[in-house]
Amino acid sequence: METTTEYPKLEREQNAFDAQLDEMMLEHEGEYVLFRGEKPVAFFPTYNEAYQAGLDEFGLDEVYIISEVKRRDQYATSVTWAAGAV
Amino acid sequence: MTKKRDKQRDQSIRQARHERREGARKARQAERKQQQQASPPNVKFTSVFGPEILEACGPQLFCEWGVAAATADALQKAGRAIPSPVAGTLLLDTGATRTCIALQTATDLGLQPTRMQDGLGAAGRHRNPVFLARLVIRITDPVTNLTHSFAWEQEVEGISELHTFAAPLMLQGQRVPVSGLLGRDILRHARIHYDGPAGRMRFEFDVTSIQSQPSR
Repeated sequence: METTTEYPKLEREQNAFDAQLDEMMLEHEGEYVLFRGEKPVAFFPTYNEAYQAGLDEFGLDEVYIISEVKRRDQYATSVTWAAGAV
Repeated sequence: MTKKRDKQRDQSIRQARHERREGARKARQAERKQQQQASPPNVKFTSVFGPEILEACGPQLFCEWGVAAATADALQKAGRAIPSPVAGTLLLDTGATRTCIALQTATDLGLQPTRMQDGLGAAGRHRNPVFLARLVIRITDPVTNLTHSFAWEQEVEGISELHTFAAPLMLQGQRVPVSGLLGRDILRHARIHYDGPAGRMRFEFDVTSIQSQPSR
């Protein structure tokens, strides 16, 4: 799969997140996860709390994931952009 | 005996899950209520492009991108400069699932991606970085001469080369690059009337709804 630009660390975290999504869904569907070191660090009721926790714990420059625990669609980002017709 | 213990354990797991979900739901509700209290009413305005410009450039809105408030606070605490907002335009795109930011704009702001999003793009299947960003839409209505602006924070998908794909608007002789796509996650909170022959667009944004249900 192509990546728009190179984010190798984030890609690794995202692959680990995707691999563990089913497991996280069992207990934490609809919550927001702070995910780093290829494992969940903590779960939060809101996105903002998870985002703030990421900043507090790991600062501005570390690589980590903030995401709702849910399955996401994989449709075209933009049909016109995808077709090169913007 | 074992069956009874298993049943009790299953019940307590279910109860704990229910309580967690209920807690998350209540926290989201409280967050929405807090945001709604500070929100302006619906914002309505008309943009007059002229038929030729509307055809050539598409419906675009002037905007500013910035860092999220939490990021700005963290930068300030760390004694680092808060990046100035980046001006550009948003191209209204009913074909876009999510609102997007030009990768160049995200880089200029020093935004750190918070996850990757799988999808389809110009080069087939791909993964794009996703950022939390602050977005301001600002416009002066040529009919009423009133300036409206509203802002919110949401996840946006970074896409490359957007400014080279899309025709820029001209403002006072200056090219204003397209720095984002206004996708259906925002359009679900808007009513829009496209008047091609007159080269005019009428917008009505439910700002309360945008701010209380930001795309995540």
